[in-house]
Amino acid sequence: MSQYDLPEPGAPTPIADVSYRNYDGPLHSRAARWWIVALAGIRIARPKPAFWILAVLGSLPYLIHIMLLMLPQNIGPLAALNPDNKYATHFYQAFQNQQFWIFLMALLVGAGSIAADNQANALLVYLAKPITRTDYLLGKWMGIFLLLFSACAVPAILLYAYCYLSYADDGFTTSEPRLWLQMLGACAVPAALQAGLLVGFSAWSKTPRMAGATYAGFYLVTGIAAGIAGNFEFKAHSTSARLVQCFSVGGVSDGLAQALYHVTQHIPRFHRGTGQFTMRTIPIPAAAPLWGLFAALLLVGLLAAAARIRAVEVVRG
Amino acid sequence: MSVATLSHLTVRYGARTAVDDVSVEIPEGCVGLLGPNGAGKTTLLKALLGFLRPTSGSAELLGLDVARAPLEVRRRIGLMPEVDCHIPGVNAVSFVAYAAELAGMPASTALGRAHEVLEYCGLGEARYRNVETYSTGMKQRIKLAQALVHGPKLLFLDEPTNGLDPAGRDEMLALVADISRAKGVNVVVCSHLLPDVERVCGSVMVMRGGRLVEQGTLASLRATAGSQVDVELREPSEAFLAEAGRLGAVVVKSAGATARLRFPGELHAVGALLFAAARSTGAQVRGFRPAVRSLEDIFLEVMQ
Repeated sequence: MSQYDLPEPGAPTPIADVSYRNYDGPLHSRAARWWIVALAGIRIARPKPAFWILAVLGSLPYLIHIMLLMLPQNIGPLAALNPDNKYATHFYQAFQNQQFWIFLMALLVGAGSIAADNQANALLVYLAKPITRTDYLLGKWMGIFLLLFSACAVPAILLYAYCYLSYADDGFTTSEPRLWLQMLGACAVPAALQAGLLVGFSAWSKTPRMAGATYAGFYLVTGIAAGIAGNFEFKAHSTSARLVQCFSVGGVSDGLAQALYHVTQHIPRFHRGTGQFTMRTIPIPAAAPLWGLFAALLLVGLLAAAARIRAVEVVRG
Repeated sequence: MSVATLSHLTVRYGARTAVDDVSVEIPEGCVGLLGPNGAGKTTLLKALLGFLRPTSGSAELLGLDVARAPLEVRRRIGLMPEVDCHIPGVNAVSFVAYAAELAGMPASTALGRAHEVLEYCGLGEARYRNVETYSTGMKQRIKLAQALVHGPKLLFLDEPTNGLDPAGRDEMLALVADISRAKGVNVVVCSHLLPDVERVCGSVMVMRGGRLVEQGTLASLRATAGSQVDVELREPSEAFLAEAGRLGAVVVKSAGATARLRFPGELHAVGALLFAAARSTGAQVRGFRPAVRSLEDIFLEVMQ
């Protein structure tokens, strides 16, 4: 072949045609279309420094409990209070101390999830693509849930790994064989609940700030009200009082975590009259009504969001 | 071939009828959807996209029933909305790649395709900037890019030149013309800017009060009834127009020294009549040519 001969069809040529062409390749009909929306939510939250700061702060309670376990003398008192589930007590206490940071993280990653799209008219772009409103809602919920669940579960898994490596010979795996399952369940509850409520609040707000402020108000007010009501009730009956204390967003998560870990709390109280410490016992709340409340709150959040998610506003005259 | 078939499509908002019994076949190519504010253009687009459920009637896009297969329809079409819309907190490449993935494109292809389409839309240099920082013109372009990224067969452009300066408007119209003519994508341009539609569209549909009142190719709509000519005189002359009227012409319209006259006979006989009128009245004819109605003429006639 001389240098002036044309190349064979399909053979590589030194001249590349880089002009723009309309795409004619495959477009798949994915069953899990919501996953694309969830992944985008995670991608947006990941680079935020505040997200990592809160994740680290949320890990501190678990790190503190690792240190507590490292000091042999601290195992004694805790073990004496809950001899059947001494490790679960550590997990539950760390969980309790972590929840405030998870609440702040929920505000950070969830308040703007749909409100920011409302503000920027992005719903029109989403819903002009081949996804349904359910895909969009599920994707938004899943994005928040996975972020919160990871923030809850990663330090808990770290504590579990520490216990496994250090106390496997001390009966860690045999005395509490279902602890890993209880741990994952306890981490999933606040993540699922806060994600569900936040998509509801976010869908009804025009700006992320408004969604965040409203949700924070709801979270704190229900928490304070349930706490006060529970304290009144405590004098009469501690089991029902504990249940009343759990009738808030944070309370449901706390109560269900306590029920899942099956830990009775013992809080030392100082009596001025006798000058001595006594132990106040906080019983495990009944799980069934709390699961009911959890499901109801989650459902209300998701249904509220579903009612609001529309590509276009329709004003009927 | 038609890209969309609407059959007795009616959309009501409560008691108000926004689209009233529209039946039309939208042809291939670039089609302009015209009408004054409140004519029902945007409602029609929303109904075609499946955002609104028609009160009665049906619509087929690219052979697919909008009500029965809305996801399949949306996979094949692209929408450039009138309002600003972007996913907050992401740069242009991520935004467009995300739009491609939502349309069903594999993730590995979507990113490469996003770069290509942003380059094509003139945002190559700014593609790593957050969309919130874009100017109005750039926002229009990224709206076009996200609508185009998955290779739609039909593109809906709602007011594509809104808020653009003259240069930006020219560039946007050149892009739309290229998409329609060189890339083979069918385009429906929804606009109230008649010169824009006239520049890029081969056919138009005009809506008024929710009804489709005119439809056809621009060439056929521009054609005038009978033999009409635009005559330019040296100076305005009532006597000339009166004499032309006596010879059988009808004055369609006149403004200053120009007038549009309709003659009963064939166009080749018009010259003789014009010169006869000019000779008898002393008027000086600078020139005359077969009359062509502008889109504005057509629009105004329809609106009246």
